[in-house]
Amino acid sequence: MIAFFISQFSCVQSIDSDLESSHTTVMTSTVSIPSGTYTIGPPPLIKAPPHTKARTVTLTYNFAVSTTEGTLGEWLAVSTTIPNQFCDNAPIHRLTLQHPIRCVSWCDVIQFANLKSKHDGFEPAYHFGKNANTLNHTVDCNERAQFVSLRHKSTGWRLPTEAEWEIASLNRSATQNTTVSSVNNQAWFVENSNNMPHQVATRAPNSNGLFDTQGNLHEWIWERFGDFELTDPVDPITYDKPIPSTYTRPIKGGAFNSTTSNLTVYNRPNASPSLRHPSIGFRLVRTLPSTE
Amino acid sequence: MSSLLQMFRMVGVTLGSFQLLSCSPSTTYPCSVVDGTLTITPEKLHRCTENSDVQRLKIQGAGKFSTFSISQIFPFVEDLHIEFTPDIEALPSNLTELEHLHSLHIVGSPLDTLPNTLSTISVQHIKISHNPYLKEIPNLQGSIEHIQIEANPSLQKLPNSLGQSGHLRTLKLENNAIVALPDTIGQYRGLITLSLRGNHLQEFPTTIDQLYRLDALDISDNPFQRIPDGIGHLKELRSLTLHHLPNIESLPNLGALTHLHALSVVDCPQLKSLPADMTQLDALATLEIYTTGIETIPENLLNLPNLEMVKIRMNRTLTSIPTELGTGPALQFLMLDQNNLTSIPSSIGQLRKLETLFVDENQLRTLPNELCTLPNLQELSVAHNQLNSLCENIGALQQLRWLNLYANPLKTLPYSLQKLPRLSFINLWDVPLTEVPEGLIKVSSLRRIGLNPIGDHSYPKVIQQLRTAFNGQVQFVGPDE
Repeated sequence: MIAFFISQFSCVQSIDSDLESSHTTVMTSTVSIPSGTYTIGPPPLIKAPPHTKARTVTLTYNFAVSTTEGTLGEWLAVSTTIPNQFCDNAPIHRLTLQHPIRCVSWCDVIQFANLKSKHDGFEPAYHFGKNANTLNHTVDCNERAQFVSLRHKSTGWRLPTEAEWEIASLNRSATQNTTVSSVNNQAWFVENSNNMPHQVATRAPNSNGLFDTQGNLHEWIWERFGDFELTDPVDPITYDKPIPSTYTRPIKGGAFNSTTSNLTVYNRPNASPSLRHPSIGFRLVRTLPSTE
Repeated sequence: MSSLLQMFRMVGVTLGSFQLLSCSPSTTYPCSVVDGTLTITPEKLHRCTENSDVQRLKIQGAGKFSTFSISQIFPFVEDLHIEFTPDIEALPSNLTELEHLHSLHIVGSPLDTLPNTLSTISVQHIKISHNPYLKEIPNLQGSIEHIQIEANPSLQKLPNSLGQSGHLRTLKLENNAIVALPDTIGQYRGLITLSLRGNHLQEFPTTIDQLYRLDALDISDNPFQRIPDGIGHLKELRSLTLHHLPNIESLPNLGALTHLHALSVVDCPQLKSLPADMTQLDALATLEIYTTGIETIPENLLNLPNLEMVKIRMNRTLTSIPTELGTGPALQFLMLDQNNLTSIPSSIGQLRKLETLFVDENQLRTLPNELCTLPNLQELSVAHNQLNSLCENIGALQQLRWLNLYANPLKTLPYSLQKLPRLSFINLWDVPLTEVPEGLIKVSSLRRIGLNPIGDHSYPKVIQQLRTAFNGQVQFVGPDE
């Protein structure tokens, strides 16, 4: 069995025995995923939806993935500017530091990732190129996104590639028949969410110790949306065949308003990188140095 | 919740390397101060004893306030943040006794009203945001300089008073549900920044033109029926942002805004024209006109003396730009993509400082030869046009390093490409070359080429030859890399 283990916490306040009530704690707990060759995509005997393909992927590095979706608490620890959490006339609800942050564009998140890397003492993973300030521009984000380059082997926080996300999120039970009863324990989705996101880590984790990989919020992916062509890519950070003139990015895992069929790990909806939507959030990863 | 935490701990135990790192001294927890900052939950405040070192108090998280005098325990607090406290039923009662307070943040509370004691509070900066149920804010009477009231989705109206009139400099009211501004807003004549973005405003108060010191104004994302002429009288305005205004059919005269540095008009689909007097905006440096219904651009608008960056994009009704370009000496960045332009005027050759030109997704069939004389042009993108040829003298673009020809029916490329000493990227994706461009082969500075796969091109032999010629020298990339 592949060894996954919780590897790291970074925090700004002490954590003691009253973890439950210590909401001032801002931590990013992660699970380490070791290098190796993984089989991802739709499982055998299931008709592959459009743009999906069963494939093997080899990663030559270890990486850490946050056990939760990015939270308001994590955001607040790094930035005093909080994106409007009630964008697009989203239903209102109480907000806590443990709520997943939403209404963030792809561009918002990569900028946050760099800020968080600096805050946590890691080398930022993204280089924005010139006119980086226009990433905040709703329209320009879509095109400036393609000029953002990823220092894949830096140790800073970043969005996962789709392969990384699927490897980390793989939940053996979820890749089989996804039914209401099979996901109810693990996911906030349309049947149980009351049409709003919920505090992270309030459903059961998947088999790798990650919370909310199904449901709660869709999670942004690094690559521009495209099709898979190669069968055995190594360390893929772009798709084999980007679809020309589209800038969309996959959003993975389904959300609080998703039906069961949209919660499967290999599903591949995608969205314009400038989109700030009440059902879209993120989960950060970072490449681990070979010594970790 | 507790069962989940138990499970969370069990995961750690099961996996064998669960670590909890303590980041602050445990002896004084939860009242330990780091660099003058104490971060604590409401319910634990009462555990703290008097501490004069606390300058920034951040009250975050679960629990209610117990009976507690902040001013007695933390008498020198300057910044007080009450953030994401979902269980509180009221604010601490004695905030006005904090003599040194200059910044107050009330963020993410469940309160539907704020106490009247706020009326007399005197802070430089007050931020009230992300309070989902907040419906009412009391009149603010203090000498407040900066007010941020943002992302309170239940807040439909503002108090009549926003502090003493001579003090207010910044008023940011973004993403609330405000349906009307108080007429009293005109009395804040010291206001420098005003953002009304993301509300439900249909009308301006008539007193808007009294804000004569206003430097930055953002009225985006509102169902305004019209923009009042008074905005054209705000002579100190340097930045005007008009995004997502679905009902606006015209702009007021803007020619009197002689200090205007940045004008951004985005997603105003009913806007059919720009005011002619915009050509008097001599200070304008940045101009953005996206997704409007404009059909023409005023003559000489692009010739303004300080204009450095122009983005006139995605205006599908725009078929031409002014023919007389070139007297604008400062223009460096010109994006004209996704309009419906059929030609680029030859006068573009006079934009001697131009570094970037994007004219993608128009209806261009030719480029003027004068374009290829621009001495400082570094980036040229003409993707998705109908170009059958490029100017033969393209080799004169001595600074060119990035050339995007994606999806044009070019069958060959000029030989003068060989003269481009800095060209590091060329995009030939979906360019149906029938022969290998000899000039291109000689460009030794190339590092990346956008090129179709061999099997995905009308002339696979050409692709094969190009890949062979540049093998090991360049990286072949996708169409939008």
